[in-house]
Amino acid sequence: MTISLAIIYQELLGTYGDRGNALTISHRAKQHNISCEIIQVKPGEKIPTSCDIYLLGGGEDNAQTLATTLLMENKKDFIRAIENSQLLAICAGFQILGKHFPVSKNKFSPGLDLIDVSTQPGSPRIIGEVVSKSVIPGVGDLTGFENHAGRTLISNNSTPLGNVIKGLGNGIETNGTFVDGYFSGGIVCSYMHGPILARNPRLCDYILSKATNLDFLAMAENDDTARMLHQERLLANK
Amino acid sequence: MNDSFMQSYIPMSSIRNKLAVSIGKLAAMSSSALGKGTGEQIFGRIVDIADPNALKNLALNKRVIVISSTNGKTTTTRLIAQAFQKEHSNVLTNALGANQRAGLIAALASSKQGDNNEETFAILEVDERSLPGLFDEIQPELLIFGNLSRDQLDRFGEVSSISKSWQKMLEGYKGKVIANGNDPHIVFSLSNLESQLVTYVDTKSSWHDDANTCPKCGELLSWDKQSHFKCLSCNFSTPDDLAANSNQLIEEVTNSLKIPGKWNINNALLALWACRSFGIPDGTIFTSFGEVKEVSGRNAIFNLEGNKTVQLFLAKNPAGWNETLTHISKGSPRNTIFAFNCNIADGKDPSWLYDVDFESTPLKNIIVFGERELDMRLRLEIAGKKVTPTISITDAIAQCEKNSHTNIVASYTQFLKLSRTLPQLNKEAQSK
Ligand SMILES: [Zn+2]
Repeated sequence: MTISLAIIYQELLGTYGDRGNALTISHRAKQHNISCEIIQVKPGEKIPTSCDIYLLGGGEDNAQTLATTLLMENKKDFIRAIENSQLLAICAGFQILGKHFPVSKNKFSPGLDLIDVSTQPGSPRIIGEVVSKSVIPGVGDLTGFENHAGRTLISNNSTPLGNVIKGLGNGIETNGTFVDGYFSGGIVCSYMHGPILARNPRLCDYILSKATNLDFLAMAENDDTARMLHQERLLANK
Repeated sequence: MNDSFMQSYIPMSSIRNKLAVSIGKLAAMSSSALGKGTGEQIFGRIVDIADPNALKNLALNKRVIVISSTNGKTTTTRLIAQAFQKEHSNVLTNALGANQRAGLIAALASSKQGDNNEETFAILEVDERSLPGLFDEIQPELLIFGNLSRDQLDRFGEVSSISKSWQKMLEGYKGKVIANGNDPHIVFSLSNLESQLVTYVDTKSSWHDDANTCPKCGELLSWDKQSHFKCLSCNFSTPDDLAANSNQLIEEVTNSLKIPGKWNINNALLALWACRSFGIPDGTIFTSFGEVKEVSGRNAIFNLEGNKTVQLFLAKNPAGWNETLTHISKGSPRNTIFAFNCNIADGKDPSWLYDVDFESTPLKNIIVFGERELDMRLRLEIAGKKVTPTISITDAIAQCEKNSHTNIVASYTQFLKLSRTLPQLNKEAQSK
């Protein structure tokens, strides 16, 4: 079995090591005897519509604006691409999918408006280890490192990826709690770098399961390095 | 804190400044005696509090040369200081890499009483974030700008913020600049200066991952094989008037150096042009470069028990790790030890390990240890490497066979620790 994975605009959305999510998926797929083809979609190139998984990473302000412009120009293809596949969007990538995000003081850039979230500027910058309880059954606790200024509000009828135990996640308090990211089956969004899939092998297995129609979450967990790192980070953030 | 430092003469214009320096020395002496951190740092801090004009007054009447960069500033500073010391009797520098306000005060206060007619040169490495805040006080006449890349994003924020702050800092600057013409962030920071003030050096530096967009207009930058950049939208590009580094010159620099790696050739090229701008002859420069065998423990070689030799490398960020890996993967297969922490001084987020190209680096017998050994181990496994985890440097060295050579690449806080442990192990091995 072979799956394909597209990293979109690594040159622009690659400031925080999120490329590691692609490497992790490929590595973990191999452990499950699945081969994985990684496609780098460069700025200016057409977005292929037939991949199984799409990745958007974090980036600096200028780069985020440029990436959004490019995605707007390719919006039709991008929507077709993610219709029947998995999309993982981190940090700036998460913000781009929403209604709008801040670009400078009092200035906003429109987002792709594919999910019902919007981002406001915020201060101070949110920096540090973050832990959440994932809403996805079988995935458990998530750990990562957040580093962002924006505060992202998800609508009442949207689901976050997790309820924050440590850190601030999206950075907006509702009913006394913070949440991180956004989740809707095929779309997983988070503020967690780390990279998130390297530090959370069960989340990686979830995405792989959805991409292959197999159920890796039902399998017993290997006591591998990824799991050890996951446990160690949870313990360190207790 | 050494004696010459304590006995040094401080030319001072104000009594307050003199008094502040004396109080600082007293405090530094007692703190050194109590083993509470570096005397210089404490000295500098106290002087700064006692006299807010201390830095400015200490820099007055000195010819200040500033070196700033994400990577390579300590080495470049050392190379320049080495050559200057051959030509001039009064040269002071912050050789220990204390490169913020307190460290600079300590370095500037350390000038010895020389021939009063001789001018004093201060060759100062300055932290790239701290530079704008003290620039007006130290009044440099020459700036050497190496490179700006991602470094501890959790502490320092994104790269473009530095080049913007440098651009602002340089408004009205009339001194000279030697700059890496292949770094868009550096070139951008100099874009408002009169062009005759700047000598751009062609370093062909290879790290472009933090410079994919134009610092001027935000559009895509394109890079050619010569590491020259060009904005596809506005006219921002590698300057046309790069100081030519002929192949012969690069060869001469390379041959003169005892410290390894392509990055050190780039450091040396910048140092060369800095020394030339003060009229130091090439012969003297090359001889001086050759005298530098290690810089504060960087690249130092140790001989350990069982005829095992180890060489210590410091790597702090993705650009530095990639350069170091390129270097150590050359030559015969060796053991490689990675020592990895994520404390505040290392940067608390190791995500960038995934932007280091371990995949295409051939490495055999990889041994890891450190507080964040698991992050490193997973990264290496994902790159398809086999890894032996250990718990300490002694344990790691025990894994290396006798009569073998090993490269150790360490994150910052591991490097500091190993700079103390390895000389000790070296000493023990020699006394057996
Ligand atoms: Zn431009």
